[in-house]
Amino acid sequence: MAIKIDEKKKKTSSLKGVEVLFRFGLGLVVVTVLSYFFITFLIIGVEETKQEIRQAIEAKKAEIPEKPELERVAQEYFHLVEDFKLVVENHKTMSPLFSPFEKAIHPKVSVTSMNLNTTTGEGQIVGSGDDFVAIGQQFHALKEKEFITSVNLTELRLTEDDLSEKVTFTFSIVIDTELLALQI
Amino acid sequence: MVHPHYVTYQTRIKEAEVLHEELENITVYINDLKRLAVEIEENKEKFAILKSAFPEDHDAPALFLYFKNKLEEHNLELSTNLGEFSVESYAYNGTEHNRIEQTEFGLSFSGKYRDVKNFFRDTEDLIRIITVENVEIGEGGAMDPFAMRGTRQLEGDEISVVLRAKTYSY
Repeated sequence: MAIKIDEKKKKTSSLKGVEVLFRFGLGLVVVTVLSYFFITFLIIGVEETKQEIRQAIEAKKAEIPEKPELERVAQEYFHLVEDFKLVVENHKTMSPLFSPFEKAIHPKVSVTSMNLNTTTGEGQIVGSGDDFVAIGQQFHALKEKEFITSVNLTELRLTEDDLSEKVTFTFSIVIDTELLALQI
Repeated sequence: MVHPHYVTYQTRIKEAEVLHEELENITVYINDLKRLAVEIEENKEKFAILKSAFPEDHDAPALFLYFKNKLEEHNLELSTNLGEFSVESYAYNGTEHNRIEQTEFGLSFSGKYRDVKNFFRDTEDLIRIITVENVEIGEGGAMDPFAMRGTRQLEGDEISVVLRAKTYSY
């Protein structure tokens, strides 16, 4: 008898376990299905948002109908400014050179010719002076000028013309090309 | 069943984020473009000046005519035509800039020192950029040799000028 009671209890408890499991499974299925539909609902929402954003993008693009032409003009002007800046930065002007040079020439010295490369700043001054003292003073006067970075006496000769003796000279100079840079 | 669906949702979210970023960028771009359109309109005259600094071609005859007239204006005598004339891509520091063409030319003329100075100053005011690369100044005509003694003896002296210069075009 006692054994029968135990089996009944056992059966009852295993039935309860199956039922719990069934209910848990059922709950899980319900939750899964609900989650599926919830996520589907979210996906639809996101798709709608995407569509709205796409429309907004198109609307933004349509705000400037002449966009391609404007882009072309902007690009052209951008290049223009860039090119102008590049050329002007490397541009050299001659006129700032005259006045400082005139002031650098000794009163007893005559310049007969000169040449200058504005890119390198290298040049030559050829001329004649009354005597060696004047040429020496001329050398120092050129050397002291801030815009002249280097000066060398490369040729010195005693020459005679109809009236008197002269000392002819050639100075090789290097000037600071910043002097020739365009002042804006 | 739920997990792949969730992955799809995540993918859509990421797509929406990318689109949103695109919208933000386009909004900024369009606003910049609008502002640029206003600035271009306001600076139209300045851009026109810049444009004339780079003519569409080197236009050698116009350049020659310009110098001929300028020299005459300053009482200077043109000794030769525009010497050697070459057109090539603009290059600086060994780098070629293919958009810009540079035209190199030579010019010889003679006249009074004061007029030469004024000529240089005048050409520098021209909107078309003319860069003097090399200049040689020497004795001129039958008058006194070029005497650069301070500024006192410069007035009557006749000098000759040989220069090489560059100008630019597109």
